Amino acid sequence: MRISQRLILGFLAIAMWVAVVGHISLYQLNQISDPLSNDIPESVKSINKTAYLDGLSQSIRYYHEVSTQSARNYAFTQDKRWKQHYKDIEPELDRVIKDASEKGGEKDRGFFSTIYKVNHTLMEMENKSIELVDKGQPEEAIKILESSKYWDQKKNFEQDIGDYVSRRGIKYDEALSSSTRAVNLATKQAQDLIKTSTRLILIFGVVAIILAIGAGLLISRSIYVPLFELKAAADEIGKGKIDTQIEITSNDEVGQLASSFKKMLNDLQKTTTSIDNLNLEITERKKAEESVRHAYEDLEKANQEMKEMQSQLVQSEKLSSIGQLAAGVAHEMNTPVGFVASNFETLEKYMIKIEKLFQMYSELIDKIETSDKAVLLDKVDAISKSRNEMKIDFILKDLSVLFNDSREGIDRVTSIVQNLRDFSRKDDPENFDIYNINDGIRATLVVVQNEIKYDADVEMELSEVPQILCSTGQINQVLLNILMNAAQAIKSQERDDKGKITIRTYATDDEVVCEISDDGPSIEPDKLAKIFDPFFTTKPVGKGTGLGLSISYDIIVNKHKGALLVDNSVGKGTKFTIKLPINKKETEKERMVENNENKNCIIRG
Amino acid sequence: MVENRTVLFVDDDEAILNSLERGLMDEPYNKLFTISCKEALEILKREEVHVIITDLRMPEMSGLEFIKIIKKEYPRIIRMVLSGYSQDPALQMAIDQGEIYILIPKPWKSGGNFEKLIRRAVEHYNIQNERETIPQRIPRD
Repeated sequence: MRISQRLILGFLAIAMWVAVVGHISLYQLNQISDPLSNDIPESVKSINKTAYLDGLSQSIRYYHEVSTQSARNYAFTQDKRWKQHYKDIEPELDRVIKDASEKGGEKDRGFFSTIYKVNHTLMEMENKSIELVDKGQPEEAIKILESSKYWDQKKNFEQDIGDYVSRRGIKYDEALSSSTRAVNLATKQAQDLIKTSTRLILIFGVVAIILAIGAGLLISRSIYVPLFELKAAADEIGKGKIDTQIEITSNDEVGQLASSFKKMLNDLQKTTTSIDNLNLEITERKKAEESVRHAYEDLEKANQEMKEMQSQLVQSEKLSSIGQLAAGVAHEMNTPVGFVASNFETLEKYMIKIEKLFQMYSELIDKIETSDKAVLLDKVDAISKSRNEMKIDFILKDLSVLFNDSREGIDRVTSIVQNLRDFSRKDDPENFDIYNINDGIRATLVVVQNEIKYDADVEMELSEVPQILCSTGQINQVLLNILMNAAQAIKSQERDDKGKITIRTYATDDEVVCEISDDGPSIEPDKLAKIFDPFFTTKPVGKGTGLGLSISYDIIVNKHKGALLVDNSVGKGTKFTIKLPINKKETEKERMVENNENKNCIIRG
Repeated sequence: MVENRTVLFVDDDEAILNSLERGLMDEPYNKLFTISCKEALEILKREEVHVIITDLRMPEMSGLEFIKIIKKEYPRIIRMVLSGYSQDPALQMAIDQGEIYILIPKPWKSGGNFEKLIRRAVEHYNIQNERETIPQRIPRD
């Protein structure tokens, strides 16, 4: 049963109880009021009646006394006031007697009509005496009043009324005592009833209170016991014992609350499970974070190591590109050195031959004076023969060619050496130097000439560009890398004709731009994005380090705050664009210093 | 025997050819000089050549390609290389496979070994030639 129903039922029971009690009390009260409302008023009425008649008869007696006396006094004194007095009283007496005869019982009515007649006779006589007085015959009037007839009448009247009054007095006492008895009885009855009622009401009241308390206790118990259980369960859950069982099966609000609570608990358990899962997940995530942090630290470390390695790699890449070049440069050097050395050896042979011929000429000169003509002619023949044998004429003619060739060879070697030096002049990445990219291109071209010249023609469109501050060695290395790549790309095509490499320079307001394009195979789009990645190479194993462009990118973008772009959308081939910022202030300053200090600086390119 | 032999020099650098010519001035064999492989192939069509000495890195056709053609079309010609570019793996492979008789690195030193090497090549040709012609010269019964 629901608590509300239980409460209503409880209150209804109490209300019914109270109604029953009230009804009984009402009945009791009615019983009390019966004698009070019936017996007592009856007796009071009889007392009143008796008392009234008694009072009337007393009044009759008094009015008779006064009226007779007033008539008598008027007759004797002729004082008009008595007459007036009589006239006032007489009607009253008449009315009182009439009233008494009406109010009284059967017996009384007979008595009062007799009294009325007697009084009437007396009144006639008295009125006659008053008329006689008024006529001035008081003696006559006194006669009437002193007559025996009058006195008899008067005596009778007084006798009758006296009897009646005494009789009435006894009746009154009787009525009074009987009514007193009735009242006493009623009072006693009422008192008894009140006592009983009070006791009953008291008992019923106490029972009602006990009932109310009992019902209240029962109801509240039925409410607070499960509530208390719920509270205890909630406390337990609060402490974390999520699997607490709730044994409330009642069908009331608490039961509903309990089932809601169970549902909530169920949900909570589910939630807790999911929270547990979440916690687990969080723990795992924390672990993962931890491992990620570890991994990150490892990565940091690796990054640090990488950075350290990078400088080594840059160095090795440089060595690699230099190594790659070395062979080419060696050939480039070996050729002039080869023929100059050979020429030098030949020159020595020439010298020996010339010396030999010179010797013969000397001998001839010595013998001119001492010898005869025939001997001399023999000698001349011998000289001429030797001259032919030793190909002196060729030698003499060849000497200038030999010198020219050798000079040219030495110039070539000088140029290569000079450009090699220029190529990586002052390779200090911390201290930038004044650099003209056109000079850099020329120096680099000399170095890579041997790599390019058999495969491609180089076309240069170099505009006047401002000098910039940068690391000569590094920028030249970038140019070298790009030019080598271009040459190798063209070479990889194994085409019949020569390829073409175009180098263009120009300046914008704040940048020096160098474009190097080739008509070799264009880079595939999927590889285009990777070409600046370290270790990415399309060359066969052992042919490239995969670091050239990555290092070039680092040099141009990171170290020089420039840009290195690649574009292979324009028809055939690939175009690299190097953009280097112009730092006007610093370059101007440096140029001034350079001009002042280095008047004999070597003109490069 | 050596006097009748002809050595063909191929190098794209005229100064090299000049220096070779003057350095080998006194050598007894005939000497031909050309600055390209194509020209060399032209010469081979009209002249009898016994030894070829070629550079490796040249435009149009490289020395190794040239040697391959020679080996195929003129197998009896002794093939020599005179190059400053001696680290090329392809060259090493060619040497290993016996396509090249001798590799002379640049710079060479004339006035001794260099001349001897060329002469040995010529002689090698002669020996090779003799071996091949012996059966022809032995009279049959």
